[in-house]
Amino acid sequence: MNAGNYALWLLSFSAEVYILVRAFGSRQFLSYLSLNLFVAALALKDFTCFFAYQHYGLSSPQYAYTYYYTDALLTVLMYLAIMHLYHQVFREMHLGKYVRGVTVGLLVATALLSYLVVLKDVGHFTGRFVVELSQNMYFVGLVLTYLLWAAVFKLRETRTRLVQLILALGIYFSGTAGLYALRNMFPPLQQMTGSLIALLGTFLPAAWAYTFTRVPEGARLAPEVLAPEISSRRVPASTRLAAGTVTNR
Amino acid sequence: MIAALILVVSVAAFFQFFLFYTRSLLAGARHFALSENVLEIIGIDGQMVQPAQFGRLLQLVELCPGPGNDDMGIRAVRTYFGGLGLLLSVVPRLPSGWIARAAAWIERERQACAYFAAAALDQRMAYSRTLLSNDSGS
Repeated sequence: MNAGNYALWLLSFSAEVYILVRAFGSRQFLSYLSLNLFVAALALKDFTCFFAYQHYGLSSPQYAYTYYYTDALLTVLMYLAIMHLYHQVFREMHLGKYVRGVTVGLLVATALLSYLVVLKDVGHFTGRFVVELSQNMYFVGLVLTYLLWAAVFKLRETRTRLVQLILALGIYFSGTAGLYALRNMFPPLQQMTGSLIALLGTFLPAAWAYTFTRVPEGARLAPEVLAPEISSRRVPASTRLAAGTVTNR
Repeated sequence: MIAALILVVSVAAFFQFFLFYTRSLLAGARHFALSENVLEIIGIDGQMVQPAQFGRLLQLVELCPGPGNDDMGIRAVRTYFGGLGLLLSVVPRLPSGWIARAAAWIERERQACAYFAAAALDQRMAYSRTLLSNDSGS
């Protein structure tokens, strides 16, 4: 592990601990229970992987299996975090049980599909299975997050915190699913994709820490102002994003 | 085949999410009113923070100690600004009807990035002033 990887690990772990301490300190742990549980699991995973690295080394099978299996378990908790965000967005429409059903169904279907895909390649069963499973689970996470984002747009959800939490999750899922797919297609790129996945793994807690710290609970933002306006149609001044006008305080 | 499909869809979604995320950060800074001090330091003449000032503003931000909770946003906006610079170099190759619109949009976005950097500088300066006043008070 080089200095860069150490720095990423340290940054990621610090951001996760910061989110949890802040949630306890501001008495918001229960308000974002699933997200906080996920962050706690993320911190535990980072710690476990670091422990496996220290004892067995980065290229050992022990480290690899610790990494991929804790990652797969973590993705399940990530689904719970997404469910929480769905609940937040749909809370006034009482669709909770449908959201739960669809999420659990997708989770089972993904694991089954991954199992079937690698079943024919029994020789490399375990190693390929974890990469295939991670790729598919992150992709399903991406689809769920994309649908959630579409719902945010459709329902005109304006809570800035919620919007930023969802978008950071979208970046994380899409980036990680893409990198796992790249690795699945070109196994020699394993080292490069591994570093980029670690970078994305640092991005998510850092982005959430940023949101919880910098965006007040009551902040509002109309999601339509986030869509790029390239056409010649004029956007009402009240909703235009373009900044730069200086207001003296 | 499935992996290739996932790769293409993921890359497209990644850029879309990144665009929305960065614009949400920029939108957060949009209503921030810059203080007289910052206006004086960055030497704004007229009423706009110009995209050309983005680099200098970030240098000043790095020189100014901050609470450490704004680094992530600054990095994201810096990456976005770099991406917009790349897009700007592609604009002349677009169909003629698109050039003016795309260039104007990129310019607006770069201006929003510069304003974000100015707001970050302002907030860091306010933080430093608070630290100084606490130190001198104790």
